[in-house]
Amino acid sequence: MRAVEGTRRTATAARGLVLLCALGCGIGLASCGGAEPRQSVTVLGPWTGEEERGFLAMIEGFERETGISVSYIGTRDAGAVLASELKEGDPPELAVLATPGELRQYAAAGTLVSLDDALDRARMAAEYAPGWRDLMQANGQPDQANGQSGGRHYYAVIVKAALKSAIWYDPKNLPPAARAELTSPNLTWRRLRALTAALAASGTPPWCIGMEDTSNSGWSGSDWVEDILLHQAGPRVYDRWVAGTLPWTSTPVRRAWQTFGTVIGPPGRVRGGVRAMLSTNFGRAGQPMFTTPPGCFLEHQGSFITGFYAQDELPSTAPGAHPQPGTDFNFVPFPRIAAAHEDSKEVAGDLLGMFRDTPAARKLIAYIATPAAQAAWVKRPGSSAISANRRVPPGDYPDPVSRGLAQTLTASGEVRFDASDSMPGVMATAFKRAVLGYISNPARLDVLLRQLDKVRGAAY
Amino acid sequence: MLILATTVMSCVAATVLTLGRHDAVVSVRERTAPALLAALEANAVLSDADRAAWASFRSGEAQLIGPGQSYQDDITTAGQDLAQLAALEAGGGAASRQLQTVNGQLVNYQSLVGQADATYRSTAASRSQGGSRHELGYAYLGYASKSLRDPQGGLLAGIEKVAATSRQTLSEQRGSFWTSPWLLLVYAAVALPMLGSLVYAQGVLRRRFRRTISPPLVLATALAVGASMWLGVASVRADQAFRTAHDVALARLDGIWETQTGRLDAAARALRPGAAGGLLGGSGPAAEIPRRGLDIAATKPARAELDSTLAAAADTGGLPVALPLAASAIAGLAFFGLKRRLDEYRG
Repeated sequence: MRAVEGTRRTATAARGLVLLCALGCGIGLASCGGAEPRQSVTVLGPWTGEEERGFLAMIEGFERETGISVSYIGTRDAGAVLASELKEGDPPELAVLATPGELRQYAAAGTLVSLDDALDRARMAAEYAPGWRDLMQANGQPDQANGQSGGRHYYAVIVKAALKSAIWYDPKNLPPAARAELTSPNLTWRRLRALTAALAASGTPPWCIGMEDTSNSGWSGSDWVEDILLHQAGPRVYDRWVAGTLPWTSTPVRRAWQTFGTVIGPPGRVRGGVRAMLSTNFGRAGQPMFTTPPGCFLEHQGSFITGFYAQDELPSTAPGAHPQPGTDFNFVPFPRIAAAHEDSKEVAGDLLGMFRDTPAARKLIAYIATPAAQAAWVKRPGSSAISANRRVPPGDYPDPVSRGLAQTLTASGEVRFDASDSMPGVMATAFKRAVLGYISNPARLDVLLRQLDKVRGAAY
Repeated sequence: MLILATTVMSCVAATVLTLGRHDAVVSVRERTAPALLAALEANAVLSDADRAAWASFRSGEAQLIGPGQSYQDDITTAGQDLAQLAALEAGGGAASRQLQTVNGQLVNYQSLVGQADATYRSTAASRSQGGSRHELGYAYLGYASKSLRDPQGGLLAGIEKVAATSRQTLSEQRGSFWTSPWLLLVYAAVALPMLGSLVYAQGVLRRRFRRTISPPLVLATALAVGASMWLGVASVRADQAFRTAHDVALARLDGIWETQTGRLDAAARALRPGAAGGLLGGSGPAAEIPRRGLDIAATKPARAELDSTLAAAADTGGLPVALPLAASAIAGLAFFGLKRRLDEYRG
């Protein structure tokens, strides 16, 4: 009897210890095993604010469907940050590349992972026009043994596209005669210059221009030079210039800079003068178009600027009201300079590339290329996003201005990608810095062009 | 047997709970708090770097010394802080990735200040020959400031995200089971079976052997009560020290850094007054250059207080050694007391 009692007591004590251990496990003393860790992907990109919210909306469905967690890190200096992380050998799985130049550079260096296995080629061909598909591809790393090219591969998907050849205005604030002239189908560069001279004579500078974008400052000026060159000298000259075979000191390129100089040079043509041009953020430069009286009337800017306009406040009407597409802002295509190149247009896009190959990253890349994912961003009011995917229905665009931009972007005509975005990184940086130097002191044009040619010699 | 089992169980549980609390506090002392403090310091020194660079440019000193020695010192300190953070966040995860981004942004910031310096000096040289003004040099410094201070994705915002992760971890550690005042009740619950079994044994002896008390069992009970009280007092002390460290010392330190960062931000703003949506105001010398930089010494008393209170909170008071000894003594005394009665019964 006593032995039985002793055994029972021992069992009770053991049960107590087991219970204690169980308690320990429950309160985190030790890991008692558990579910598989959730898959995750890190994406580095340049979008902040409303653009960041647009991207997060785009991937919301992906996270819901797959259970994969997407961690987005947004900074305007994403390009510089990516370069630094690559140098340290620890890039994120996915990163947004602002330029096809970067895409080619990283693909050739073997730091970008080919997406041929992640993307369905037939589907890509059906959904994207050849020009856009070309932008997503690059030559792979040359064969180390025989030095032959690695062939064309997909290395990125276009997350969103933009039309750069556009001039923006506020239909309510622009004087009626000026509005009629600006929106005339026969608008030419010469007539635009006369129009801006007349506006300047009325006491209000016609142009809103802002160069500031931290380490990328100057690109809104390089866009001006590119658009002028494309419309003045045509796509063939533009292509040679982008490819590095046409010198910066050549007549067509010099003439494009000088034409840009007629916009920024004469006193009273740009709001705030040189100092404001250099120090005003590109996203805020157009704000004075909406004030009463307006501080300036026109802005040359890419279609993504609508996302910034939509965040501005209208000062005179209801507090908290924001400019609305169509009523408060609209656009006209860049005017004709040379009749032969009237239909040319400059475009841009954000490319998402894979730097670390994981199943979750592949799934996300494939998802972002789909019409459903692309539509999730473009349909957000004020998002400013335009999709290069042909299967995104026009009805998904939330307003007539974005529908008009999408139509212009996909219409026939010569399409050229942003030149500085297509040049080697060091050339693009030098171009943007030269623009800032030119604005600061237009008399230095010859020096700047010679310096750019020196960089060209090393960059290509 | 019952006494032995409950004594061992109580001893093991009390030791585990004591070590669990100790580990939790050590994690705060050696990882979470230093990570938060490194992030706060990095934030402050970079704010000061921005102020120092502007002060050097606006005073004209930049022609000879660039952004200045104070700027260089601040960048060095920020680099050390970020390296410390990287070591503390070495396990990967969101904070580690954010930190890599911050490091890239710091390189970018320095590059823009370098460009501003080069432009400023070359403009200064050409000005002496009738050249243009310093607008472009100031513009580059403005871009650097923007890359530092942009609330949406700027360098300081990135560091603040890392700090927020540390704050969140700290908050979770503060509210965790191991640092909860309720742990005292758990200690009591753990001690009760042992005390109960001793009292029960005393009762059995009294009923079966007609003995009023068993001195060894009374001694064992007294030892158990003493050990439990020791445990309780040590627990209350550690809890008070941890609350002081978290709620008083760390909050004070956080406040000092915040005040200093706010002052430095204001000084930098005064040096680059905003104009019509732009980063810059006048390009001539500022009327008055704010010279007062970062005062790291002002944080030292609060830092010392934090260190001492966290050390007190982590102090186990010798319990991990004392508890097994006390348990052995209790079990031995109980065995001795019961054996005498059993021998007497058998005899």
